[in-house]
Amino acid sequence: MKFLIFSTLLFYSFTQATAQPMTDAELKALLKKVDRIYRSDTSHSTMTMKIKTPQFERSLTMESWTRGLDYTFMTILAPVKDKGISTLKRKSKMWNYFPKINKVIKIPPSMMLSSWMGSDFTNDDFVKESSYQDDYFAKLLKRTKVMVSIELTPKSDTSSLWGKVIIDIHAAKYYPIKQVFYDESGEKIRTLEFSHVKALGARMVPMKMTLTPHHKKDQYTEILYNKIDFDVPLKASVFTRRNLQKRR
Amino acid sequence: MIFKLALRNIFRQKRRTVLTIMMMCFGYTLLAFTYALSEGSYNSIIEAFTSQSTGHLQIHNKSYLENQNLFYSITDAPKMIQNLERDKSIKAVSARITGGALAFANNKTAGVKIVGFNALKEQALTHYENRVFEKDSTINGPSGTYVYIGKKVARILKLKLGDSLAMISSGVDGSIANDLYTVKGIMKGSPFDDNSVYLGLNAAQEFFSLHNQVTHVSVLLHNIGSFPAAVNRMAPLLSNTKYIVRPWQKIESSFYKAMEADKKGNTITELIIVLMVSIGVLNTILMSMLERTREFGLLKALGTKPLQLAGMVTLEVLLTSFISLAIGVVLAYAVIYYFSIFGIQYSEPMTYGGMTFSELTVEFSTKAFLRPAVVILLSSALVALVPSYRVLKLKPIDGLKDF
Repeated sequence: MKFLIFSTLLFYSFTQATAQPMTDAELKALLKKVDRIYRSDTSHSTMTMKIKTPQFERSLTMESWTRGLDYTFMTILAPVKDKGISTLKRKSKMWNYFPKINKVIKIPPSMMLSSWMGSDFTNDDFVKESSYQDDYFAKLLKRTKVMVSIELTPKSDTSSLWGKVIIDIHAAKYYPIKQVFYDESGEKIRTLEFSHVKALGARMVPMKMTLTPHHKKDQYTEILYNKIDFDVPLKASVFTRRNLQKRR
Repeated sequence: MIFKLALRNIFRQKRRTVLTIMMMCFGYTLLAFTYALSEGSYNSIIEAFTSQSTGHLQIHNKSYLENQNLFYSITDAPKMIQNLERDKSIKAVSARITGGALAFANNKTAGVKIVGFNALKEQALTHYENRVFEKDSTINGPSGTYVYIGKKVARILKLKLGDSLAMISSGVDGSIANDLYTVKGIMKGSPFDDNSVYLGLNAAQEFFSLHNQVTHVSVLLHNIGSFPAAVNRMAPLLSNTKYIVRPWQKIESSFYKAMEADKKGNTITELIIVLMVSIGVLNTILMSMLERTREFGLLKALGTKPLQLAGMVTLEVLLTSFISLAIGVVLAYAVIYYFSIFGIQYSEPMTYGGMTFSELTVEFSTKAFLRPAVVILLSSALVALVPSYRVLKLKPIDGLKDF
C-alpha cells in the first residue's frame, strides 16, 4: 500500500515536471505566434517553392504580402509560363488571377482544401482561412525544456480537413518545429517540418518548410523563404481586386 | 432407283412443287437480304465511327490507360509515326493529345475536351475538315492560337468566328494551364465534335506542358478487317515495350458492346423468318404427303421397305430445297446487288451511337449468301423428318383405306 502511494506520488511529480499545466491564455498566445510566424502584423516576403512528385519536379518563385490573418496577396515571379498568376484573399473570399487569359477565378470555400498550383499545400495553407488560435480546441500534450506539444481539434463550426493536428513548438523561441496532420479516423495524412531557423530581429523564424504527404510515395513540397520583412507599412490597395488584375 | 422416283415425284405435281419452291425461295431471299442489311448497317456505323473519331487502332502508354494521367505519354511520336507510315496496310497515322479543360467566354463556362493534332495528318485520318460548319478560309486547320470548336461549345459560350476563348486546365507538371485562343472554325453538330476544342499539336503540347509528347497515336488501316495482323506487325515498330496497340473494339468498348448486343437482337428477327419459312415448307410438304397417303399405302403393300419410302420423301424435300436455293441465290443476288448500289433512303435520318445516317447500306458479302443457305437446308431437313416419320409408321391397310 505504501508502495502504491509512493509510486503514485512519484508518478504525479514526474508528470508535473514534464507537463506543467498551461493556462488557456498561454496556449492561445503560443498558437497566435504559430499562426503568425510568417505574418506578424504585416509581412512582405519572397520564397521559392519546390514541388517534387515521382513524375515531375518544378519550382516556383513567389512574392507575398500579408496583413494579419485576413489579407494575403501572392504573385508568381518565375517560371515565365506561370509569371503573374496571383492569389488574393480577403477575409473569407479568395480569388486566383490568370494574366494570360486576363481572368479572375473565385475559389469557393469547397476548394480551400484542394492543392495550390499542383503542390502538396492546400489553398488554405497559403491564405490561412482557418487559424489555430480561433478555430481549434487546444490541449497540451507534453512540455519539456525544449519543446511544447499541443494537440488541436477543430471546433464544430470549423470546416477543417483535419481530425486533429499535433504541433511541436520550440519552448523558448516559440517557433514551430513540426506539425502532423491527422484525418477524422486518426490516420496520419501529412507532416510539415520546419528548419533553417534564422534570427530575424527579435524573432526566430524557420526559413524552410517541408511538407510530406504520407500516402504518396516520393512526393514532397518545399518552401524556402529567401527574404521576409515583418511589420512593413503596406497600403490597403495591395489587397484589392484592382491590384490582383494589374499586369505585372 | 429411289433418287429417280423422288425426282419423278417432284415433277409429277408441278404446281405443288412450284409452290414449295416459291416458299423456300422467298424465305432464302428474305434471310439473305436481312443479313446483308444488318451487316451493311453495322459496318457503315463502324466505318463512320472509326474514320471520324478513333481510327482503327490506337497506341497508348500502358500506364495512361490505367490512370489517365497525362504524365504517361508517348515521348517519341515522330519516330513512331515514321515507322508506322512505312507499313503498307496503314492508310493514315495521326498523333494526338487529348485532355479536359474549362473554357470561358462571354461570362459563360463550359467543360470541353481538348484535342491537339497535326492538321494535315488528322485530315488524312478523320477528314475533320469535312465536318466544319464554318471557318476562316485563310487558315489551314487549327494551329498556334487558332482553334476549331464544336457546335455545342460555340452555343454554350456564345462564340462566333474570330471571338476569343480562354481555357484553364492543369498541366502535366502540376502547373495551371491557361491560355487564350481565337475561334477560327466551328464544327457541324456531331457527337465527336460537339464538346471538343481542336488545337494544333504544338499549341496543345504548350498548354499541357507536354513538350514533344502526345497522349496517343491513332492509326487508320486500308482494310478494317486486317487489324489482328496489323496489331502483330506493329508491335515491334513501337520502339518501346511500355506502349500498347489496341483495336477500336477495345478503345470504345462500351460502344462495341452496345453494338454487339444490338446485333444479338437481330438474330431473333432472323429466327422468326426461319421459323416462318420452315412452317410454310412443312405445310406444303405435309399437304402433299396427306394427298399421297393412298399411294404410300400401296407402295408399302407392294413391299417397299419403310426406310426406302422415308428416304424417298426426305430426298424429295432436299431436292426441292436445292432447286429453291439455286433460284434463291440468283434472286437474292439481284436484290442485294440492286440495294448495295442504290441504298435505301430513310424518310427521316436515323441516329445511332450519335451518328446520323440518311441511308440504309446493304453489304455484299459471301456470308450473307452462305448463312441463309445453311439455315434453309437445315430447316428443310428438319421439316422432312415429320412426313418421313409418318410414312414409317403408316400401315399399308390404313393407307389403302384412305380415299
